[in-house]
Amino acid sequence: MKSAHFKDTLRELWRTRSRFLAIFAIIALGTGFFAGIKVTCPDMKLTADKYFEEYHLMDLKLISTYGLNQDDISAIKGADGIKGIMPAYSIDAIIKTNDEDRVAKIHSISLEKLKSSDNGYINRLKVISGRLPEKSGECVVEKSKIAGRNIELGDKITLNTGKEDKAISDFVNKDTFEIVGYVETPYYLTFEKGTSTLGNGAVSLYVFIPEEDFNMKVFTEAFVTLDNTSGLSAFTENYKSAVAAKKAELEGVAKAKEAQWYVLDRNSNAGYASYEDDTGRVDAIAKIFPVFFFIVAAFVCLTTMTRMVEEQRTQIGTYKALGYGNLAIASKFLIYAAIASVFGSIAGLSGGLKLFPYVIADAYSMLYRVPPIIMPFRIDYVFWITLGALACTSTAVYFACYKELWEHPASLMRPKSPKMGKRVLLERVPFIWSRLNFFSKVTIRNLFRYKKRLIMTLLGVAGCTALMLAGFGLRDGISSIVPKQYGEVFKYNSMIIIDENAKAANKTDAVNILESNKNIKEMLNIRLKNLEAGKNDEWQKINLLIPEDANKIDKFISIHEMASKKPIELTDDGVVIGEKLAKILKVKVGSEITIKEGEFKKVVVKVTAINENYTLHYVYMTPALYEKAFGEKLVLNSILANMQEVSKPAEDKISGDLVDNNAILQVNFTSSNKKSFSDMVNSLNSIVFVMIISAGTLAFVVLYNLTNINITERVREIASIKVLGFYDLEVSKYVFRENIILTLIDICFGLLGGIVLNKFVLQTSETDVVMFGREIYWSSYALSAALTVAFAVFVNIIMHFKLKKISMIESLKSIE
Amino acid sequence: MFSMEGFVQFKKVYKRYKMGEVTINAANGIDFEINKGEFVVIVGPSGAGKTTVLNILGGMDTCNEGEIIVDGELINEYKPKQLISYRRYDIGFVFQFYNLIQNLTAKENVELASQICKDPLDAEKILIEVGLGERLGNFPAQLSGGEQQRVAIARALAKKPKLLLCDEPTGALDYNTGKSILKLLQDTCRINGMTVIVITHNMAIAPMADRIIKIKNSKVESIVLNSNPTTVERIEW
Repeated sequence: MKSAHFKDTLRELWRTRSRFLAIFAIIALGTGFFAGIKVTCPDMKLTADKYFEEYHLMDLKLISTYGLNQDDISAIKGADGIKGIMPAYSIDAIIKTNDEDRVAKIHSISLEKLKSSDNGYINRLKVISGRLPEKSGECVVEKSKIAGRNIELGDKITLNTGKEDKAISDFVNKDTFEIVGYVETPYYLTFEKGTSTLGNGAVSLYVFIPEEDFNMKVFTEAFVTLDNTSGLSAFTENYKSAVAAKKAELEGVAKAKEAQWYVLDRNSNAGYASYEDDTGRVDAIAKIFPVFFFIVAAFVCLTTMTRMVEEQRTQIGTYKALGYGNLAIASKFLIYAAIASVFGSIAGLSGGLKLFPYVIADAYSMLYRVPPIIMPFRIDYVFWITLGALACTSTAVYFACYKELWEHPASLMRPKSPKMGKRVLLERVPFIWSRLNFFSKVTIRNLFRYKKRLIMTLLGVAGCTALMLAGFGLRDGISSIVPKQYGEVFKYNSMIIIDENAKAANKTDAVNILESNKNIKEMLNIRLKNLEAGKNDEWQKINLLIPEDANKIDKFISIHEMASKKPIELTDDGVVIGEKLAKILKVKVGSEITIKEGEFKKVVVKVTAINENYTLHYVYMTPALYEKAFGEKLVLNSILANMQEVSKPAEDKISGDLVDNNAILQVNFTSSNKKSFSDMVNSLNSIVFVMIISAGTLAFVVLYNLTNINITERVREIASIKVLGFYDLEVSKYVFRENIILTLIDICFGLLGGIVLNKFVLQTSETDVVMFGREIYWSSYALSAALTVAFAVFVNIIMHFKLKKISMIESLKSIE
Repeated sequence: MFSMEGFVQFKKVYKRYKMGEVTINAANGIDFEINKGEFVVIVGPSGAGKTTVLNILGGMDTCNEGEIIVDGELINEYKPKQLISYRRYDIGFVFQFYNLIQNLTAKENVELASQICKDPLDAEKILIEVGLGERLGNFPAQLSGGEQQRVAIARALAKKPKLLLCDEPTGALDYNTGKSILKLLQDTCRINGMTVIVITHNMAIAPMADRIIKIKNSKVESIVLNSNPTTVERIEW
């Protein structure tokens, strides 16, 4: 390229800087969005891998029916390829703290190993605050709330077995421990901590106590790390096959020992598998959204470059006449577009690569306890995405100028005859057409005059509305879970969990205390048990709920069909399961599912109805069916209660009364469940916010660019009507009328598209145990539409001033 | 009614443009008067300042110094918004390149002007008058140059302006078509009593005017009153 030609390009860039900025901005937006969401999945995986490696997450866990002794440990150690082994104790126990009983997992931690950093220290603890235990009688716990109150450092916890016939001293030397620190460990990745045979089966807390405080004869488990997995990402096939191979080997060792051993991999850890699924969900979203932004970017580039080439016809002719070749002439536009895309990519990538992973990981942090996300600079992504943007804009340039390049210089120097006016179809309907006023006629004709632009606005504006609606809809779907689950489905105010192994006298006592409380309106005894339900090898954790009296359940839990809200009656023929469980297990009314307790006890039952349910999986059954299917007598272990007055003092009164009763394990209040859930919803707002900002910028850039092109293209027309004596506002109205109508039409399309998009987003972001609300609130429709209108108005205001500045004299001098 | 004399007055009008560091005097003290109902031709070589005069008189531009009086009003003191109203109600423009809206039919182009006026002429009627009765529904691209200029004239006349300003109205037309357009303008003046001002570099047109204002080097070189204007048919160039 000759330097004079290059100078011409740079000056062009400066002269048309607002146009340049539009391309720059849309490229930045497109690449930023694309790259940001694209890297979130690898970034999240990397963060987890780093965490697993640094904190020596086990590769395998061995348990045995009789526990593991020193011989067993040596045998495992002797196997090939074992990097580290850590024998450990763990028990499920009831802990008492702040006058609350909870089911907890108690793990051992060797005090010597804490100080060393050899490979024998597995599932290491990360101290969040406080410190690690240093002597007998100290413990660390996960940071958590119990009954709405934080567990404080310095608090004491007391352990008991939760079973009348077993003493805690059979397991540990001490029963009281002081909390000296909060910890996290990759062994527990989520808030989900597995199930227990105690209480209702839900584990509320994990606790690490010094190994020396255990007095059990054999180890309950052994954690193992492997040599062949070092350096492998846990989310790769290589890792999975490496672990599978070693698992088979260790099972061989076990056979030689003639004991019943189980070799478990990480998937047995609660929440581990869902982390991978969740990163996959982000990737699924990454497949649709960013591609859309990229398409819009290409279109913006195409319309802009087309306009530029049109304006430069004469100049192209001049260059041709001077003897410049096609490539040399096109290079001006190519360079223009290339500068915009390279700088746009740099700006977009530097923002997007940090912003999106951060926001998404932040939203996921309400589910997973992993360290803050690591966001490395990914040169390969930067390279390919920038290249993609360049290819995109270059193609647009090619399409914009290939026609002009093949014309003769002489014809290029002649002005292009203006595009002829055309009648629209509506004019053939004189009944309507004759009723329209003059300006409406002009507007309608103009609408159909520029079809390329029609599509562009549709993409930009309708896309903006759709994105926003999907964003708001996501928030609606999530925030409506609580009111729906705890308002429309669960009507009870409190659930009191009773130790089923407690003495009968204590149980009666507890019931008497509750009955004497005047604030309790009504009560229902139930059995609630954490089990698993499945079909065709797909298993889900469920809460099996059996009311003592099936006729009274409707006062506490409304079991009804989702669409019709028709109440469902429990029958002895089968069970009622939730909508989401039915979907995951792919079962319909009339199908059979298996419910299993532990590994051995399995029962097959028929599904008689499917009910509306949003969180967790509940399976409802009658006492008669339970006794028939499980072949055992129904033992009630919980009480649902409805209160007259629902308030904090009223709740405190109930829990206070029950504090000293040994039969009571937990007192749950719906109100505190509601609160902890709404905290979670708040962190989702950031995702919605990012979506809205992106959508708004998209609409703004597209509208600004189109209006800008529209004005430069019609500058003579605008000058003409100014000469005719149109006032400034009339001029703006004349030009913007189409914009406004297009925007309004596009908003309608956008709302329709948003419904579809929202469905997709909800489906991909839902986890197995949650069903989001399916309806979008009217306010969200209104807000998406109103915000789009606001963006459009904003663009029109800016453009109004641009219109004011158009000089009649300059524009009317001669044909450009 | 206001006097026929001095219907339009230019008194020592100056217009200066800054082009970088050079100041260009596009109007360097221009003085003239035009009476109501006259057919005026302003002639001069290109770059002499004719268009500047027309732009200032038509309210499309403002002057730096001097007074412009139209029908007793001091135009040079008008605010931007008043200038728009002035263009809207008092001035009709005809340009060399017609400046029709491509997406509007002939009739609609006229309506564009008539619909913003208080008491306009009927669009169809005026188009029939300029000889386009058959072409009402055609778009500009379907019309010849002469026909397009007739639409432009009809559009200007529909507003019933005080002044009809024409900037090289025949500049883009062939000889015969140009003549017929001039005939239309002259008839408009003679029959309807419209004050018509035509700007041209073509001296041959001058004899058809009541008043000929020659402009050279941004100044009025001469003003000639022609008591016996020739008809268009007898002019040749």
